[in-house]
Amino acid sequence: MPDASAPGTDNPGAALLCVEGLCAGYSARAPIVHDLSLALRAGEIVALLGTNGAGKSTAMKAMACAIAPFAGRIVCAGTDLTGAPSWVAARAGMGYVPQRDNVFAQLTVQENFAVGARARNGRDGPDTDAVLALFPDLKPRLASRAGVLSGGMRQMVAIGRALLGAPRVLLLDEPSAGLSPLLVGRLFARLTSLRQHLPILLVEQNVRAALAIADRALVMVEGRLHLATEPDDPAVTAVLAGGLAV
Amino acid sequence: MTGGLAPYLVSVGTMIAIYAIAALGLNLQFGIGGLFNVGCTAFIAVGAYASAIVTGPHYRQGLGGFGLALPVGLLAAAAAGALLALLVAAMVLRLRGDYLAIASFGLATAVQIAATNAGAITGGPGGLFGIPLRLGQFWPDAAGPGAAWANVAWLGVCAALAAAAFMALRRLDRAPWGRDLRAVSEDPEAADAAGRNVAAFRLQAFVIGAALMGVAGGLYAHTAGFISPQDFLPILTFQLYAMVIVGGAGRHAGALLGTAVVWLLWSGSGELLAAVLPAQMQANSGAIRVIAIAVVMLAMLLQRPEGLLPERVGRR
Amino acid sequence: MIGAVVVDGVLIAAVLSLASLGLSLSYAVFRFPNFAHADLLTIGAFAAWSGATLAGGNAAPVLSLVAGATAALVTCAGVILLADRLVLRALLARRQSASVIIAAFAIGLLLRNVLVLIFGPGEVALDRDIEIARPVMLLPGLSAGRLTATESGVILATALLLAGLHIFLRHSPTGRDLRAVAEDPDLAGLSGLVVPRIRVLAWGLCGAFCAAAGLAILMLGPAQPETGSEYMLPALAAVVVGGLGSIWGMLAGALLIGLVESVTVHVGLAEWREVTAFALVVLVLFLRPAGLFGRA
Repeated sequence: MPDASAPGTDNPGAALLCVEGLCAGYSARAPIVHDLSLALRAGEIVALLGTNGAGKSTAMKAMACAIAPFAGRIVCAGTDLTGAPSWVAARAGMGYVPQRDNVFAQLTVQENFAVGARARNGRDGPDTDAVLALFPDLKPRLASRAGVLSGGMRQMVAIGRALLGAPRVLLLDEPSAGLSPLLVGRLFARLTSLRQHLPILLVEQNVRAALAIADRALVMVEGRLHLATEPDDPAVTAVLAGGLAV
Repeated sequence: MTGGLAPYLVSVGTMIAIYAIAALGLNLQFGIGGLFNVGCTAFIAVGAYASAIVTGPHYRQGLGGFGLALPVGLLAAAAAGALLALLVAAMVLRLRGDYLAIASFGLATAVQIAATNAGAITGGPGGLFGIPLRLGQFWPDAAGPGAAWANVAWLGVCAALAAAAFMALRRLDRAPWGRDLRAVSEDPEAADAAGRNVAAFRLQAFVIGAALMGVAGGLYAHTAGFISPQDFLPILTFQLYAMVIVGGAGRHAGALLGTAVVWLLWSGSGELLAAVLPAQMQANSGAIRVIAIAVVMLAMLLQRPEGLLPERVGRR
Repeated sequence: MIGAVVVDGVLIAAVLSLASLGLSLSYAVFRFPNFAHADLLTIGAFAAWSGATLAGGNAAPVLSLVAGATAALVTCAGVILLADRLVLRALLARRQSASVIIAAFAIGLLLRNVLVLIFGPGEVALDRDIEIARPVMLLPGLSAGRLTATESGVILATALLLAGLHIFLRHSPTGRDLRAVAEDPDLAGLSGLVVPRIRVLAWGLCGAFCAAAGLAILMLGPAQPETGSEYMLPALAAVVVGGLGSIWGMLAGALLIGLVESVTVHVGLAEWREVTAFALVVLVLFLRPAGLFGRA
């Protein structure tokens, strides 16, 4: 990737997340992600797209250090996280919201937030009030167990939990999954409001919604980065449609 | 064949053959079927008591006096193991693996308590004395030179039964049934989606394994001539797991090899300790042997979890 | 008669829930039935006996109680942490529950036989003054049964430990983190919790409760290397019957088993009491696999 220099500086345009040559998967004999490089810079939302099974989620898991990569380098806000355990990544500022099982169902919303704040590591960041300002629907449910909430509310809890860790970058794996179109619109509107302080890497099936808020689009095909372009580039939809036909 | 090494080898060989049958049963349940039975002693014990009761004379205490032939006793042993397995399976086989472990652990305890307290049937804590030895009326082993050959013949019977179990399991394994069973234990959901009756496969593996354990129990009863609840302590289950794991869970040949290795280690360390330990420490030899087996098992689990004879990849 | 059954049942339930606390905790956090738990209880009892005896035993009752408790705590926590470090941690990381359970079984047998090597197969007991059981009043003037001072102390200590654990888990930040790791260790790590540190804490707590239970067992009677294994089945039963991972479920399970065992003993079938625990487990697993109070 061009311009992925000087990670760790906070200049606009500097890469806060820098991934180089990432190979990852669940068995070293058959990696799912091959030689993936990308950079996420301050102030941007990047959509990571691809057909089912293209390796987006696996790539994101590896970036968040939820699974160990077989090769490559992951640097977040100046910290080399290659091969680090997940909590080290979280404490270094890697905010990650997995697609499924992304809240502690037995814990209350408040407790979910408090656990998320354990990643703060002395950084300044949003407090519970700021998260509640972003997701006011959660205010009356602070004392409820997260497991009893609706899918949309749970998604908000999951993002709120990640935000309370004062992340430097936010990785979201399919935040729209299972939400109604109305909820998707509201959620994505709030994500754009975060962009100023927090660059976001977004894996999405809902291509149109993702491209509407993204500054750049990356398209993966069969585990490799196939295309890096503007969100309104017609090649994106062409590749995705072609991928479906394969 | 008087004194010395030969009789020792015959008795070791007999025990290995008997353990091998139980280990093959456990390997079918655990190594291949993925069923975590922590209560093997329960099935071995009911097999031992069943055969002892069916073939036995009138015992001083306990049920007896039927005096049936040895093969009937062994059939009864297999049936007893299988019946107990059916009973347990009906209740808990559909549950998560660790629940089956808990239930089977409880079963072993319950069977031991039943054996201790249902004296009218089992002879109570004192057990059953005077079980017909070895081939019974087919090869009466009176004192004298005949006795030694009776032992050899008994070794032959036990080894033949172990070999038969081994061959039968291998046949089953290579038949569609075996492939389906492995598929069911590796990915129950996929197997279910592919139309396999997951519950039925588990039940069959569990019951066949338990029947083998029952037969092993019966053979043990006729080898020792005496059984009591003290013969069926949890250490026995543990030895079987050591055998299956050391040999390589999932392979029938592994179960045989593991049985030989672990039993030689067990029996050999007993002989060794008897020779080297000073007299006042002889009482500790049992504890030292258990510690040795436990350490071997832990080292195996950590360093070579696939066992001495690993399951061949891609054989399916 | 009914009063005596209830009081005996409560006493059995108190010792049982003390013995089950560590098992419940480790089951919730590590998700496997720790078959070495029984032998940790025994180690607690023997360590307590050693500490109390070295401190002078009956000649210095308070000092020997403190010494016994300390020795039990240090030994139990040390042993389980060592077992975790050397064996369990590596096997847990492979996520094959079968090999973890077998390893726990092996560790249990190893510990039990190490105790036999050190103390011999016989029993150890504290020398003590003979205690007179005093009637327990349910309501003023209505006595329900009789308990000795030690027995009452054990019941009281159990109640305090249960309440303490509840407060720790529900109302302290560390307790909350522990619950988070128990529910989803992967998500806990991704949220920034240092999972290995919390797991060490969980084993340490488990060891501490084993120490308390071992001390209680020793104070109520003699202990021998097989003592702990007598508690294994009822403890598993209490944990499973109540629903995994719930302290109050475990307590309810222990009370149920305590009462059933007490009835079994009072009708003259004392030898069969472990079978009743087994029957309860199988019945509950059959009818309600999530436990009486568990969530499916």
